[in-house]
Amino acid sequence: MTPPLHVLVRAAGALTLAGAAVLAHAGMLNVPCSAPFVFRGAAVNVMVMPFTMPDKRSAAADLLAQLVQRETLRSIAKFSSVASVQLRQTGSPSCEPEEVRAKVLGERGGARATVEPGRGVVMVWGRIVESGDTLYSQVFVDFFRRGGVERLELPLADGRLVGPLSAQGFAGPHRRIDRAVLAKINDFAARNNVVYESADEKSAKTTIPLDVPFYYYVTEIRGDWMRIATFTPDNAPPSQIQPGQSVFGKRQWMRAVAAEPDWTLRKVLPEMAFVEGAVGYLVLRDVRSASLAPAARTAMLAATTRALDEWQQNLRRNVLERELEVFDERYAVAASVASEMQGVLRLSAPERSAADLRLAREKFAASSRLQPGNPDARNLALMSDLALAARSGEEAEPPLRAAEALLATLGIAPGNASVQANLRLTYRWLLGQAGARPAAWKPLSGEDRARLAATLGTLDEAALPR
Amino acid sequence: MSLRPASLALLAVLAAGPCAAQMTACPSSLGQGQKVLVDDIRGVESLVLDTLRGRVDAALAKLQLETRAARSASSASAPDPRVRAVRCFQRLPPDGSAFDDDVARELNAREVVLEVWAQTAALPPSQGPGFRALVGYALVPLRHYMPASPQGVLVIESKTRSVDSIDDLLALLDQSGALAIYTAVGSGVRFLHIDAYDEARTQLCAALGRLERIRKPSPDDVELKEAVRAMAQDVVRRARADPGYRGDMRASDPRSCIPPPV
Repeated sequence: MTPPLHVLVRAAGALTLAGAAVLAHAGMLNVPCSAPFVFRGAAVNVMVMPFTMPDKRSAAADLLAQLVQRETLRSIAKFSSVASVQLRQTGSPSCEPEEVRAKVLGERGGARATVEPGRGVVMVWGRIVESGDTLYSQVFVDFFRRGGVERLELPLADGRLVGPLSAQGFAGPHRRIDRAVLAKINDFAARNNVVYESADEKSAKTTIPLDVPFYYYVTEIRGDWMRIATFTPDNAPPSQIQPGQSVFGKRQWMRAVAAEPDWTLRKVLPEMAFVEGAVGYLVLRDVRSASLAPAARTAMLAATTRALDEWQQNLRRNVLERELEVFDERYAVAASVASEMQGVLRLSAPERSAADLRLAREKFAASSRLQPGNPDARNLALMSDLALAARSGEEAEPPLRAAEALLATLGIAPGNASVQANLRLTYRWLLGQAGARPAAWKPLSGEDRARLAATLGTLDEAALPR
Repeated sequence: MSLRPASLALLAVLAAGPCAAQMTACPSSLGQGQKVLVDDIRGVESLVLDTLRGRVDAALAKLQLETRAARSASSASAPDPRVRAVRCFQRLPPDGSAFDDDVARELNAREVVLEVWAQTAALPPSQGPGFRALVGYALVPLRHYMPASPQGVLVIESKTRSVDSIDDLLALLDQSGALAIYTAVGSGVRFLHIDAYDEARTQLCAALGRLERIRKPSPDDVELKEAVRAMAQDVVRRARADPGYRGDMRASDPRSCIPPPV
């Protein structure tokens, strides 16, 4: 029986970020991979899977995973209702991300708790190679929501244009990490792995054992400190979390911020910035976030955009020229998906301005430049062109040109359901079959009308169930 | 350090060493759907071998992660374009010629679109201390449907000297680009020959898009690119000529797989 997170939110009371957001987050360490656990009520759970070496156990890999979990929780604490869980492999079968994903989504049995419909998950794992004083780590990130793919919808005439993100996961470049640097990061992180009697480093303290499961809710934040309540999944409080409850007795305070910001894992694993951005994206796109106060929403959006910017800039700066020598698309997905997420977030508010559409369009076009043959990236850019063209008085690409580009996109990915649906709606709109068109439009020529009508007829037939 | 396609003869010489094994059946259950078989990766125990294993593993994980969205792009009634990886421990082809007509037919019938194997060996003394790594790719549908095509089996050879850094080695042995391209080609050819025209066009155009962006293509890459370009166009011709086809390619006659930028 898992305590519901809303209980925690009530217990936590109003804690402010940039003046408005209620903050509630929870963490777990060393959860067995065979029985994954998530906080059902959290808007987003970050699941940190093992970092592995092929066919070998590695203490450095275990340390990396623990550092990722702790640092993630700190970096996402600014978003409401989030949790971070570290999974640990316990014998066979191995900790396969696809298996864990299926379990927490309820597609397969075996999870202690599954994600609620509409709620999000970010999964992080890695592979490492050790060589003397150096580690090389490649990080994998997967983000998803229970109940559907991440997609943008834009109203057009009597219908809606739809476009999914071109991907919801990627593998980053390999990163070189000196053991000495990792040890120093761990030393500073260890200062966060201690519970204190009061929000004071001089108070009595206990170090949390690294190798036992540790489940906790945060019930209060005071400056750089957080007050926690611990529990175990098998022996959770029956009705509600009691603030102050702790297996460590009176010791219930932990540091909430990095002891030394210049020595954080993010310096050597920039993927941590993407993880932060992905959490913000999923929280902001959760329908239950509609009730967020505007100031809180603005603060979250700014933090998310900053994190995704940081990730893209790092990727551009640090992908070595020798890696581009052979295949220059190797990390295109990692960069383009972040660009698409920024575009989608720009259009998330119900009142979208023409400026929002233009900025989003830039992001989608940037993604398409990185993956020129990707139909979903093209589709997102063309959707924003059409939405702009539908606004009276806006300078925009002629809608007929966007329609031709959509048709060309269908030519490289026939059967793509979103592109096909968007093209049919666009043709109906251009032909005056989907409601009013902007008065400023030039009427279609007779030749164009005939061509569009014929193509629409064929597309309608293609859309029929086969 | 170099990266170039190796001849099948060279692969045969390397594989004839003590690490070579007869090709045994894949012990894993293959199940339904398109798949990539990943055979044993063998050689002298070394950092090069560990790194090669890690890079093949990572390339597979990357491919599956970054193409998972493909299922949601098409209608539920369409064939599933996703590809699953199946590990075949103890299986290692002695050389590329192991993929004869019978083997290719059997693998194709089991919906295998690509088989990958790899091995390392010490460089000959005349070339100094170091290792040679070979990664072989059998594009099963191409090998089966177009047995005369030299691109049915491709081998990438890399040489690394003892002084090369791990940074260099990781970049050199990265298989993610090759794996993504060859998987898309194998999948596209298979779809083409089961008349799943929409899926064939999508996969072949995806492969061509990636082939076009290789900065320093090998002769094999150039030949494969031309073959894929021809097949991507052939899909359109065959679809439009098929009276039973009701898909989107009837709406237009798409030519290029690389439309103008948006």
